[in-house]
Amino acid sequence: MNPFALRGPEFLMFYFALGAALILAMVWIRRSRESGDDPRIDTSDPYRIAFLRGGSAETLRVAMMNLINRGLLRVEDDTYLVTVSDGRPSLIRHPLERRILEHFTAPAKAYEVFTDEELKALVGHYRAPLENAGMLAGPSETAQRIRWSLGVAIVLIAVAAAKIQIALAAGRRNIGFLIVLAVGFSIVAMVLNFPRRTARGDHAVRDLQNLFAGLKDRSSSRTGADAADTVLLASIFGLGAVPAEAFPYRDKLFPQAASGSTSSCGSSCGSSDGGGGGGCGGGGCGGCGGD
Amino acid sequence: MAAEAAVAAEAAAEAVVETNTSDRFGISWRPELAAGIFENMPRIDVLEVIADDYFHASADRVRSLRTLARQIPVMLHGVGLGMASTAPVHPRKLAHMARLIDKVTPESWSEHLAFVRWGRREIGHLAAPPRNEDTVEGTLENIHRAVRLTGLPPHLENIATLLRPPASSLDEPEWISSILRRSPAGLLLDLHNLYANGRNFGYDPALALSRLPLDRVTHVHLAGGRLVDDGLLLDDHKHPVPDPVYELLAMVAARSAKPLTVILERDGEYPEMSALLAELDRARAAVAKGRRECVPA
Repeated sequence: MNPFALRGPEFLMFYFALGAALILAMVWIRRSRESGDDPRIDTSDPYRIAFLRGGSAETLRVAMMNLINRGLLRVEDDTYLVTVSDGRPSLIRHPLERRILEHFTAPAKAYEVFTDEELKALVGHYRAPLENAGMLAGPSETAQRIRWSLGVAIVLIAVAAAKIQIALAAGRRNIGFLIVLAVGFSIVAMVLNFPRRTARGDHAVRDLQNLFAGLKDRSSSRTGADAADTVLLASIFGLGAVPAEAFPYRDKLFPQAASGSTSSCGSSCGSSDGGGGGGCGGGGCGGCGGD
Repeated sequence: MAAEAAVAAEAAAEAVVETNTSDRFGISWRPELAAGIFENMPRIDVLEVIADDYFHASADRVRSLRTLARQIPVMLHGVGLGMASTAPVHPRKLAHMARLIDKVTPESWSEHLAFVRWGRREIGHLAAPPRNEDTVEGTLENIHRAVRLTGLPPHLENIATLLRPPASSLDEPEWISSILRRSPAGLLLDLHNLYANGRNFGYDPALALSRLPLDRVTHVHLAGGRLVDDGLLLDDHKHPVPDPVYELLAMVAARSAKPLTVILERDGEYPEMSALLAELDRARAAVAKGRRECVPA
């Protein structure tokens, strides 16, 4: 059967199936190539897990929550954060926490940390080790993805162009749907193939969520969870998994993140590097952050 | 209090120096302890995971367990096969165990020297079978079935019992030795079970220990229990390891040349992780003490 001999609607159906099959195959191949061996997960720094799961802004949210729970940051008027007078940032060993405390020496809104260049650089340090571990897409994965996406787009556009040429030669002008499909599939091929995490990174996050499911279940049935458990819970599952009793400011400070599901900042997030706190509007600090 | 802490710290430091570097100390994996375990990985050498919890788990959960086994050595511990019985081990459960071993590739696996069903009825706990030649034969057959299917000989754990098994012609050390002598299985020696049985039935656990084939022991369980109404000691895994159990551990270390893997079991009323780590440190100190007092075979 010569697909180019198909009539308009039949060819559109063929083209739709071809586009869907190519994109599915591309995603499957990418995930297979990027899954690698079982991940080794370093849990010594919960912020690394938060970065892997949700990116820069999520890491900063988790760190702020942790500092509030430890009594080093104080919430004023449900909006402003200020370092407690005896917080003494210089005594805090974790550089990210120390910088956040320095940032809030004077009262400021929580979301303002997302524009702090020094904090962006500090959080950015998590990226390279995770890329090296094959959990976040690094330059080599990105180059590979570009090649595959371009390849799929070129095939789809070439098939569409050939059919358009045949149609025009036959004096038919009903080529609009085909152009829309070709452009649409090409865009989808580009968008779907660039999640920030690799399949290996997705596995690592899911494995952690499975292994720590008991922590999540337990958190919902108790109050006064210790700070170490709470920060791990937030890092692995997101702020939405932290019960309001364990972090009463959750909904006020981070409304969007708090309402999101545990995977809302997962692989569906974009990878806009400049978007620390990308979805943060004036009042909330919610959306998935870039890294 | 401070003095106790200093003594414990000294013992731990001593253990770090003198424990055979091949001896390992770990804890039973419980989701409730996951955060504490991950935060203290450098102080935990090995984890023991209840295999039965994963027999019907999704592929995703099993893969998570495999990932855990890549972070730290994992041993699978079964509770539902019913190895010590004249009845064949449950074939479907054994198949589940074999599949799990295949997928997770644990370092080893273990089961109890207990029966857990009567006919088709699950009795819901680990019960001590009559200690006689019939159950020795039945257990041997079950071990061979398990080895055939899993490809790995299990480590078999002595269990605690509040009732003296009826129709027994052998005592516990004789019965265990008879099984181990004719099988490739190792002995997972639960010292609290041994201690509890000795206390409950009026014999010296140290003497019983000396009659066990310690050359087959590479894995040891530690746990705690509580006294129940009639003065019997119940092995409930909810209390700290009692002092006599550490003394038994030192004896095992003194009499065994093989590296030991010591697992602390806890199944509820979880204390702070620091308390469990302190128990592990006491175990290290006990093994170090035993190694110093090594008794020639």
